[in-house]
Amino acid sequence: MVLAGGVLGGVVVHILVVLAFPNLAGRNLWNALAEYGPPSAFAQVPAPAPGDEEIAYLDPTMLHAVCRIDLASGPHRVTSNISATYWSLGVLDRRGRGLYGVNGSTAGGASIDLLLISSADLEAVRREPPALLEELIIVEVPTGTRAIAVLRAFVRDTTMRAVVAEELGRAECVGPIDITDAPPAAEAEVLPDTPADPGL
Amino acid sequence: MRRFLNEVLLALVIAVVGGVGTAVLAIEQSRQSGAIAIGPWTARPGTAGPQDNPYARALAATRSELPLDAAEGLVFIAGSDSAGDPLSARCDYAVAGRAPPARLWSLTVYDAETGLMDVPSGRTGFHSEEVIRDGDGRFAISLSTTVKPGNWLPVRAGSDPLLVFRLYDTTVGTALGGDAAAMPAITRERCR
Repeated sequence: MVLAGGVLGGVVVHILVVLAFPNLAGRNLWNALAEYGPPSAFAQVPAPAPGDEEIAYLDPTMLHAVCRIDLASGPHRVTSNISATYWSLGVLDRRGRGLYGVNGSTAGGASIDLLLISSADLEAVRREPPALLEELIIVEVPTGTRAIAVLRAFVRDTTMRAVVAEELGRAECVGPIDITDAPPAAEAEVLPDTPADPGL
Repeated sequence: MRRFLNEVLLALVIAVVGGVGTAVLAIEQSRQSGAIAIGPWTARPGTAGPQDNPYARALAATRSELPLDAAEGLVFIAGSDSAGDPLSARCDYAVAGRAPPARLWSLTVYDAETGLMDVPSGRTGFHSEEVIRDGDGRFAISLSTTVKPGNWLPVRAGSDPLLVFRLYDTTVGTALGGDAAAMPAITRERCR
């Protein structure tokens, strides 16, 4: 009886610990990145050096910029233009779990323009998708999830460092933005002709 | 009554100790599951999407890292040589061969205790656009505390070397596969 109760309780404790572990682990990524800058803007992460690695296992051949995005405030737009041989953009949740990733080859060039939007916000415009949604890469993030955009760019050698840093510095992470805004008035007239449900 | 309370207490102790213990074991063990092992190299794909098991997700939170999404690349780690012996600063090693198909790769040496290898020259690695190759496209990187010709990756005496090989924009680890067998071998050479 005692053993059965203990084992049953043990199963419950096991499940609770495993599920609660990400919350119990004190340093979540969102908080760890707070020192580099405010949310809704890219901030560059200091390059790792021996004895000075604030983020573990950052590749020293890359420069990194991060943007913390609270999607509860509304959709955010992320744009960059990186000429380096390799760049990539990853979207993590606030604990560092991957939600989305793209690199220069899969993006088909140096630039990217994407919209991060919560499922709830996307659902709200699904019936009449604004024109902006057709133009951007849409990254849907589960409602209630705070996201972190991570932009990496390859630094071939030290002479390239300043150029890459400058390009990273021009990357934009803007929000919340009003996606229902019909951009120019002229285009807004055309909207009624578009199919009622293009199937987002 | 007192006996009953003792039994409840015992059951609680079994529940807490057993539950926490097995949870810790399971979280640790998930380091191995879902991993891609090629020779001495092991990659743990950083993607922990909704389809992943909760152990892997719990593990991702244990330290501050910026994990690579599978679409960005894959990170291989080696703490031992191809023969299975732990890497030691007392020995020289050759990291030689080819890399799997990738747009870019980098090899970085860490001290397992302290992080990036602290060496006077500041060279902590090589990447695919700077490494010297032979006519067949093969490369050999020398891991040693003393100067070596060619691609010399210096190691601090007394350290526990840990090699990190990052493949960027690669098909390894995806459904497309890729020539995973092409990871470079880590061969022990002279020891002191």
